[in-house]
Amino acid sequence: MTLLALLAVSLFLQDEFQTRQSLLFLIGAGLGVTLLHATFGFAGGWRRLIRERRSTSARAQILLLGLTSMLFFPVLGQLFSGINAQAAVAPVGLSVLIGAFIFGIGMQLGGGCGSGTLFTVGGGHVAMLVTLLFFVIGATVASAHLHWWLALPSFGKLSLISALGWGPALLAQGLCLIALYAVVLAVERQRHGNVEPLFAAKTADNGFTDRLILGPWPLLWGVIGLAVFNLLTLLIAGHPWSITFAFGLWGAKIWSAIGGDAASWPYWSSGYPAVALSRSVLADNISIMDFGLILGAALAAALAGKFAPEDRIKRERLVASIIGGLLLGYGARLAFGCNIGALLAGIGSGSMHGWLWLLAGFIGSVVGVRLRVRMHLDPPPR
Amino acid sequence: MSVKRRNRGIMAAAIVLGAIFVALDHSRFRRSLPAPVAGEAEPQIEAGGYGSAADDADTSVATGAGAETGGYGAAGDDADTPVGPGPETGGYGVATGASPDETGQGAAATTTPDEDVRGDMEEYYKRLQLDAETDDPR
Repeated sequence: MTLLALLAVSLFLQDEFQTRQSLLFLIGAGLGVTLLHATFGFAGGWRRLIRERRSTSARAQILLLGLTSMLFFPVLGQLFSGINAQAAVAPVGLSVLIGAFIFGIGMQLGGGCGSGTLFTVGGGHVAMLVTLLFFVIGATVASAHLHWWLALPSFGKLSLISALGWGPALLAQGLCLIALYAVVLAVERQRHGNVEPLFAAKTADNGFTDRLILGPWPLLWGVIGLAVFNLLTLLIAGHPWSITFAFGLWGAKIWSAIGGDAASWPYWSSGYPAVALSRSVLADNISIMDFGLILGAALAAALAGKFAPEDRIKRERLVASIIGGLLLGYGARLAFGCNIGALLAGIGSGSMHGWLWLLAGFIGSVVGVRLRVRMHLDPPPR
Repeated sequence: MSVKRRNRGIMAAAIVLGAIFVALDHSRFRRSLPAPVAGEAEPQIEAGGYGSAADDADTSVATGAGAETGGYGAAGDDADTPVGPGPETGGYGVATGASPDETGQGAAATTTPDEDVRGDMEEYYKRLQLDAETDDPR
């Protein structure tokens, strides 16, 4: 049934809009399948690194950043003529620092990052539905305040590709990522005396085709899948994969539908946000990809027999989802995106705001992990 | 009722609500479009967003010309790349005839020209071109 829904929506988009819109929807679905089958989440990986000093997921994320950079830099550096792709370059300023810090707290309390929230909702996790709802509210409220935050000091845009050229920029960024990889590896080895293998299969009792369709996937498959789908997004949409703009858009549309006047807010009153607000939500690339991601994850969860697991939501979990969702939405808007639109797309585009996001988001996550213990979501670390 | 069954019910309700939201929003937009010319096939709605639409939203505001004025799409990135006015006219809902495929920009276009929007845009294009000259085009 989920597969039929995917095909029906895809055909509708093809008929009503353009082939590109249909393709982006299917790419979103591919991302959803990849995220769910590989269980590729940023929030859980960071939490495991902070609490247990296990770095498997963090190392996979670093590999993803590296592979994405390798695929993006030549394209964004205009090595290939005729491809018009825009980098995700944003100012390195206080709004990113504060927004990513808030987002880092939110992703631990809410139980998911931008991509994690969507694919777990697709997987039928009811608690994450609450997180998503408040994620949307947080993003909408932040869009009302954004002009104030953006007036805070900033160094402006700092692009490695613009400064060095794509080749040297890729080398420099690659060295930084290798150094980061070595650090998290050392942290794990120091605590445990060993390192969990990154490429080990989660289960090895079924064949390649079965695993490809039914999951689970090793993290490496997730890294490759996410990087390739992100490249396809860049080539087809003309911009890297992004998630959270759509949340603010949905919120602003709902606010307008119930009598509010979001169109008069500075953020929604001009430029692409104004256009997006006035058009069909289906005309927005990011919304389409988000819908595809949710349905793709639902398909993967159904194939794996994991849809709507038997989660009994406790009160603490509900409160954390509400607070976490609000922080996620508000932080993402301030920081020019979430772990995908700002961290992955930013670093993949050679923008220094992505690196600032990584630092501030991780510090926020450290705070969030401690708050989880205080809110009785996790036991105290050993 | 089992927890699993209840959870599935909640998810189904959420999906239905989401579908209603999308359907209402899309039909509102459809109604706002001019009627198709008699005898001609109904044109497709051009979709997408200009340039880094995602980051229009995510990076745009404050990154370029539009920062102070409420956030202009990928203004910052426009400024970074030596794009001419053509893509922008295709990209912001102004049906100037530049197709998104030709320009490589996602178009925010409806199917009819919008003179009001275009008037607003022209000031922006001027600023944008200035940025493209003074900023750092690769």
